[in-house]
Amino acid sequence: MTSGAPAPALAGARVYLVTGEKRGRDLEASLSAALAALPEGGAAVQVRAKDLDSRALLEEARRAIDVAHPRGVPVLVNDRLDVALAAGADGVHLPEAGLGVDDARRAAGQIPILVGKSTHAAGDAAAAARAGADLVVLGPIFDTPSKAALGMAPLGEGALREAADALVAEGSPARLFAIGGITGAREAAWARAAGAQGVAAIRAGLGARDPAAAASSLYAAAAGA
Amino acid sequence: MNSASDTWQLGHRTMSSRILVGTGKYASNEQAREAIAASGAEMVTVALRRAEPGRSTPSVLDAIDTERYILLPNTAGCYSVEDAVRTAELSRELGLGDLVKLEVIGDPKTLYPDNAATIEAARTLVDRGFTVLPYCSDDLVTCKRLVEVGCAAVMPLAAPIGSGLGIRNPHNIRLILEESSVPVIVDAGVGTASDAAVAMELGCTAVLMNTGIAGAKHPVLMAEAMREATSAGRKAYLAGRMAQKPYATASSPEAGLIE
Repeated sequence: MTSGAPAPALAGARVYLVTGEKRGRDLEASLSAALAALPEGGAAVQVRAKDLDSRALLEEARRAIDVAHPRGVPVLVNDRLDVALAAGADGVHLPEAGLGVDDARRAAGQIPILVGKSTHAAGDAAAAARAGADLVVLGPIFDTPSKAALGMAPLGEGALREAADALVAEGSPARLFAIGGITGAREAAWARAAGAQGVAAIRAGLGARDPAAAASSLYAAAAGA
Repeated sequence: MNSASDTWQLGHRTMSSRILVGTGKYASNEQAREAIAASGAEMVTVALRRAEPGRSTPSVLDAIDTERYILLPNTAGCYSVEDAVRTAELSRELGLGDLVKLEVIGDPKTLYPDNAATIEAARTLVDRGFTVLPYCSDDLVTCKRLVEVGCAAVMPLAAPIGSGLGIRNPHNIRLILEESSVPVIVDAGVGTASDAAVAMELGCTAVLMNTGIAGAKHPVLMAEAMREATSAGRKAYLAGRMAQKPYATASSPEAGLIE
């Protein structure tokens, strides 16, 4: 954490930007362009680079933090709680087969962390919220080429609605984000109408040709425009 | 997709209706009331210079049920930053709230906005706690600056105010939509139902109109048409239109035809 500044929070986040293939200078450039186009705190960032060694991942996380924190945007590291803590990130994003939310909190001990959790069924999303996840990502909601190749059928907006209703019924403070097949503002508007607070994107966010335009139109639609 | 849940956000207000209407140019207050009701609008814009509470003569505010509609006071007729800011302050003092449709006109013949002055006035009003919706040219850079100074929405014109010329430059509106992190509301130029539908099909958040309804031969019927067109255009946008093709594709299956 940057000393003095308040810890970036998720309250205003409408877009969850996943770093995907972006690395190094390329990551810095696309992330700073995207975040400059959004209101402060309008996004969250997930550093995901499964192919990187610990030290290289740590460097990417630090890069993302340097860009994100001045914009009030929290950074979560995918799967690697150890790297998240070492980098001074705001939290960890747990894959479905990763640590449980409570495991991550126990391992972090006294250090307050944000915990994100990926889920692939409405019931699992509600369970993750119940377990205390701050950010629950449900998907794939829409058709996506990468998941279709893996034989995963989209869950559809019905599942998103079901999860959103469950979170509301339980008074959960967790933020529900949709992922999968979100190519632009239209799907973000669908996700919002189904009750999601935001959308997660890889290719349609930092991976877009114009990350600033991509992030702002996703943000606008997810925030209600 | 449930259209009831397809709401939009204006500052802290959650809106359902995607049509905003004005109150000017109606034959009577009664006609204005009926047309506004038929339009399905939740938010109604009033020219502050024509709506002064406390005046004894019938004010345009008499036509509007302020319990039912959210008032959006506008600074129509202002030609300078000072004038617009003063008018907005007056509106707040009158108890009309912190919403303001900011208009700083730069040219009396076209009623085109003075974009530079609009940006300056917007900055001042945002600093003073107003929720600012600026009328501006359909210009990407102007819209970006207005978002940067903290406007809650941008309202690019589609054609000159009261002209009914429709969406003259859909490409510009599309560019603004691509870059905007706030609602984009087409303001001015909507002349008939298809114009409203085009704006919504482009992906605009909402449309604002006055003369398009008040200037029709039957304003109440046109208000209803505008409501339906706005809703239809929004649904078409969300549905995602088919790709346009240069040649025919048969609608009926061609396999298994009787030889």
